[in-house]
Amino acid sequence: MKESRFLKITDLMRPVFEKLGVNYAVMRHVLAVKLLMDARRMPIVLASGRQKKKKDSNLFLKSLWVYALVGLFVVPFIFLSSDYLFKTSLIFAIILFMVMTAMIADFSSVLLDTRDQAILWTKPIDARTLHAAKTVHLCIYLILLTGALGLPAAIAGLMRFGLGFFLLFLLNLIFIDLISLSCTTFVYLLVLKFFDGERLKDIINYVQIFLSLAVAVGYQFVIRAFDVTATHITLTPAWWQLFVPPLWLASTIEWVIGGQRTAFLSLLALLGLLMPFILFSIYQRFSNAFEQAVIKLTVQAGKSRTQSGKLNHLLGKLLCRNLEERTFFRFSSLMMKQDRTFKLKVYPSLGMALVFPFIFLINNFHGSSWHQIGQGSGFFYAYFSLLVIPTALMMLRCSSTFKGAWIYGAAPIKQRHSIFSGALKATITQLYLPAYFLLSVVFLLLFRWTIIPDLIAILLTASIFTIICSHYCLGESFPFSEPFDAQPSTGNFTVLFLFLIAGLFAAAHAIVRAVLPGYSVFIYIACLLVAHVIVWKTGLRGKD
Amino acid sequence: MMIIETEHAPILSMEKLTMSYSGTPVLKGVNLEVESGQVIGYIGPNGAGKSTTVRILLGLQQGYGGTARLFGENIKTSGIAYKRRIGYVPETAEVYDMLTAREYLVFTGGCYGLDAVKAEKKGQQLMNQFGLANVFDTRLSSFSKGMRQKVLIIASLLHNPDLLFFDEPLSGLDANSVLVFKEILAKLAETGKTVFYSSHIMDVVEKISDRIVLLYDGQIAADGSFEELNAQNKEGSLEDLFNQLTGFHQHAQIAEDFVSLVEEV
Repeated sequence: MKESRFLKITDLMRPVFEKLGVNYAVMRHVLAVKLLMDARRMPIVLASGRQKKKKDSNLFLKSLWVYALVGLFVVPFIFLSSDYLFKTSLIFAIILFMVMTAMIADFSSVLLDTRDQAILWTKPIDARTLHAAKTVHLCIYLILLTGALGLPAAIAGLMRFGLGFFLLFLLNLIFIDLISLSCTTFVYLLVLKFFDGERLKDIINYVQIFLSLAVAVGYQFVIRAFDVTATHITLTPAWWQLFVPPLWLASTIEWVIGGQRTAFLSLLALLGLLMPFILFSIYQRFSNAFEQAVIKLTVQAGKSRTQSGKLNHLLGKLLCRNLEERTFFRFSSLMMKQDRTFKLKVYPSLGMALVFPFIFLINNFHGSSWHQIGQGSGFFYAYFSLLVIPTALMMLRCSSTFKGAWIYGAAPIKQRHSIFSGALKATITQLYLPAYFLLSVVFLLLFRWTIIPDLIAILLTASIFTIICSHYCLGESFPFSEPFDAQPSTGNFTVLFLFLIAGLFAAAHAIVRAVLPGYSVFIYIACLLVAHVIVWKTGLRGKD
Repeated sequence: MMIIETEHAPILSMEKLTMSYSGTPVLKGVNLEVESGQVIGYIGPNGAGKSTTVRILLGLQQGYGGTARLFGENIKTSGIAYKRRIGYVPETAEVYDMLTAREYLVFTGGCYGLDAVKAEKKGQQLMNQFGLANVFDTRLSSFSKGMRQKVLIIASLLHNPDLLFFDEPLSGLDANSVLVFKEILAKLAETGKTVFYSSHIMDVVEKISDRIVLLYDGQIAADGSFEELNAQNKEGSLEDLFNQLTGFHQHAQIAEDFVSLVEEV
């Protein structure tokens, strides 16, 4: 077996693991296999001949480039003319936000992996060792991720403020990993403890949405903690700041290098030094309980709730032209609703799509009344709902039961594009529409009925955008025909590129409204409508 | 002939084992004692609780009632060392299939504390015996069902366990391999190993089992050698016996209805 380089590093930490009661030899063994598997992709069941042969490569490592790019955007904060506290708070907040998002969307499936159970639990491996293997596996990725995000800023800091800053910064990056790992695990542990059976599987996904919301909202607290005036940026102490991790971490840097040593700041700095260890030791304490609880997810017990499929039935009738398309529409809707891993990867972006519009709305209209907001053009933030589409489509080709894809080959399907159009329509109705309607209702209350045409334009855009995305995200693969591997749902150039395209649509809409006020929106809608018909007619023709 | 001293304490025992999933009872008090050197045919209709029992014994299932002892120790309190003496072939045939056979066998061997070189050598020899020498370095994902099953069987035996749980181990094996495997089971039992064999293929169970345990509706409905069970029930084959004990008589009617439904398009 080709051994991963990471194992050499964990070997150095062997005494630490042994002190924690972990059977190091066994842990290393499990870890070696996990890393080996990450580096391999399973061959695709169908259409494998057409695909170029892929070499052993870790997809996660490739996505690090995207994170490094984001890391570059953070660099200017280092050169802000303020104290250490403000700039590092901002940087740590951004990094923590990215890490938590990745943790929730990409690594939850590692944390809650149940495939392991049948293979590993039947062997003489104790829960603590198993959990340690999982933790180290995740930590390797988290450290690489924070490294990619933080290193550009750290190096800029090294040149500007010297070695002390650099080392403290790196230490804090590791603290960020510890904090995000233990916090996410706690939340899951609570859910695993209190719920059972099918309920549990549903709740886990809602928790993910909730977590992504919490992270996005929590991020706001960092900025609110500071009073920004033209000349000064100062921290105005308040009790709630004791619960904002980026402030703890930034305070340690300020305390050590910056020289501000007020009582409140010292308290924050102390928290920054202690909390990562406290959280992580609690995490360690509960490792056994966590692994036991994860087994609950494997139990196929109790009746699954009967789906009220009536609405779906109706939508299928309305949206699909023939039986074939309708069949795949219903099939795809069910797969999306019931594949736990799929939901684990896609639902966090749903949370983002819902919360971003409001965050921007509130940030931009700082201090103005609801009435003033209602007069503005803040409803453009509804375009953020489009974020769901590329993320969902990136995952559409994957399924935890991808081997069932033989049906596409075995069944006498007349028009293969109806597989795709059915699946795409299902994506829109199952994932996009709920977010869109929720946003629409709130925005209609805020901005009144005058924005109805604009909302219609957004809906049409979403539909066009779906076809565009499917071109880049799905390619030739059938829906649900590939395994989920270490493929990250975030941090992907394709998704970033598609976000840009969504931005162009929003810009076009805004320009039309600004240049030709009045009825121009209706002309825009008409154009979209024509484009919509053309795109759906021709966009999927290549799939036959 | 070598005589193996059998321990007097049962190698496996269950006392009043109960389990329910969200309020629905699955096991309603299972009592069973097994001594070493036996092949136990563990049978029962779908959903009778067979897998649940095995899951409990392997430590995969928490929250059961009653006691389960393996090698004389209560598995709730004994820690995990007992798993070293167990081999398991799961029904779901779950493997890490992006690994090659070599890698997978070295990995499972290692999980049981086997040295990599030794596991590899033994694995290779056993693979050769099953006629799989040429695919030792092929990924399991490209294996046929039967080949994968053979790898699982080998993986469960690498560490020379004393107690084996085979859940439908023959699925996908060709007729020749089945013949070999049945012989292997008999030999394993001869050397004092205990085999817990669950299957739905009744004629195989009938032939290989020293003792048959039938689970029905969360309870043991019959327990004894095939001859003993047969004497009580005056039925021909184990299949008939199975149908009778589980109160199933309408197979002819169901088949008839089924086919007539198929013909309606």
